[in-house]
Amino acid sequence: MTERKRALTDLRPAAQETLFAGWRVTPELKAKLRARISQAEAAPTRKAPKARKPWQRWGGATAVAAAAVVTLAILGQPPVVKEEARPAEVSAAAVTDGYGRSGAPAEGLMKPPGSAEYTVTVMDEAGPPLSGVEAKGKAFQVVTTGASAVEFDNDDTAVTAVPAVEAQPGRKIVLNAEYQLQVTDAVTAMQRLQTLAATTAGYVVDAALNKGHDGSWAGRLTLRLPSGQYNGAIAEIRRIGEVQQERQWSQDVTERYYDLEARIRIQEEYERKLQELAAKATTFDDWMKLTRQINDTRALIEQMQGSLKLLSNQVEYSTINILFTQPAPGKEPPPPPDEDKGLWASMTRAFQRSIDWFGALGQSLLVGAAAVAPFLVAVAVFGLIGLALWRRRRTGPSA
Amino acid sequence: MEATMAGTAALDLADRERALEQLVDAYGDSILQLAYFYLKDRDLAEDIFQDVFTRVYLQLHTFRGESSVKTWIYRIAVNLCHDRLRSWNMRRVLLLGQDFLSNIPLLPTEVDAVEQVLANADRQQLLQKVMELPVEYREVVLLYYYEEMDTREVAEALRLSVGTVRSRLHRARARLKAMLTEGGYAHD
Repeated sequence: MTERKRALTDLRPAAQETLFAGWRVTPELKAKLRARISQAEAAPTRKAPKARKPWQRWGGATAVAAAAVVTLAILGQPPVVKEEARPAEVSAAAVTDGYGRSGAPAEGLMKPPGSAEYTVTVMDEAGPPLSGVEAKGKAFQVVTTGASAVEFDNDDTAVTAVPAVEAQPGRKIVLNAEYQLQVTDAVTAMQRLQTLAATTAGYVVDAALNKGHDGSWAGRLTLRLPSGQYNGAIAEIRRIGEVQQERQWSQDVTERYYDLEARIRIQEEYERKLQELAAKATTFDDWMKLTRQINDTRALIEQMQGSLKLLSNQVEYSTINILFTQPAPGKEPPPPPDEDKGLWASMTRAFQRSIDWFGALGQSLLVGAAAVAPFLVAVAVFGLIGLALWRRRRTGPSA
Repeated sequence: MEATMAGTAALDLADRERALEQLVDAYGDSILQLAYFYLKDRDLAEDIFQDVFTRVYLQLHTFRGESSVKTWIYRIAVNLCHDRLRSWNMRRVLLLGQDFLSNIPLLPTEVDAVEQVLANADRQQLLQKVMELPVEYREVVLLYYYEEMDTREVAEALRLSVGTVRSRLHRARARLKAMLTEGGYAHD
């Protein structure tokens, strides 16, 4: 190898040390490859669509966008699935504080010890959470971690305490919540939420606060709090502002968690046996094969350990997303979405939006005209001069 | 491994599963790294890796053995990387790293000086500068020096003439010299 070649082949160790340290084809990547191959084999062979010209693409997109804008303007905003405001308190007969899912025992309920006050939010499997006890048309059973359980009747109101069901220790539940609040002072709200994170030994993942041109404020915050603090934090968040939307949901990862643990144990045992075999290998080929297998197994173990760690973190810390707004001063907050129901109200609203939309369109056209006016004037001046010169030249010789 | 993979004799083309396994073991890491050198993104590189070996698997029966398996796989990888680089999103990224050096004419007498600069450069800095080269120079440098292909193999993988490969290598080294000199790595 020449000196020239030696200088640049130093790239390899440099790249291996930095760019590619620990990066190689893992069993997981191989599995992804297998999946892609299966997908490719299953997919019918089809001719690639003929590439469209940019203006064709833009034309289509513009038409769709315009149609969407007009439709929205005329029909108003698309319907939003709204939760009906329901009282969150349940009678003292039930001793639970948490959430559940329909048709199945609730998971991971956390009731402050010794508390007789509670709030129940029942999570419908197929939809948004149903606050309180007025879940329609379904029987719900909530199993508590305390001394009793609660059953919700089909008549939406009856609440019955049922014999205690001991919560299984070691359940692994991931808790999540989303809140949309309207606050009177966004800066204070942000401070209170950050304080909440600090006092509950949680942390703020992401926070932003923006002031609008009209003096309104909008903020968002993602909190990760120890799961044991979840209920207290929810209560505090509700106090910070008027709740406009609320969603709580849970995920039982117990099976996945213990399955991962078991698989790690099995793989570690397998790795140990491979190492024993490698130590006894008599040929280079055997040793090489076993070493490769050991490496693959190690990579798999580390990948599973990573997943387990992530899962543990998700269980230990619940995630709460909060969006909050402060209306512009002197501006009436928009009416609650529950108001103005009915056909006439919808028609009025749609008509009003159309008027607003046409008004905005008119304004945009005027602004556009103002923007091009100087160019039009310049074009007109040059045009007139040109026209005058042309006429003079035409009439000149004959004069 | 390359000794057995260079021809198709050791590769059981009838057993696609086994052949794929062998090829992934032999070239998987290299293809990942090659794709990274083009795209500078691990996720994209892993995506290219999957595309390459999916294509290899599906087209294994069309491989005629006119070139080595290695060259064939590299050619697929290079083509896919080129396609990806031509995509709009990648162009936007690459605009940020537009090469600003003009073509530098290189006289034969300058070659020794170039090698001296390259030899003295810190390895990591050299790698960084190679990554900053325009793609047409970066690819020849990587295939020639990093993958240790000869110019004929590089030409086959890139579908270029051997002369073009040599000329690009020549210019790539000149650019590296200029970049390293600007960065204060020249030892006069």
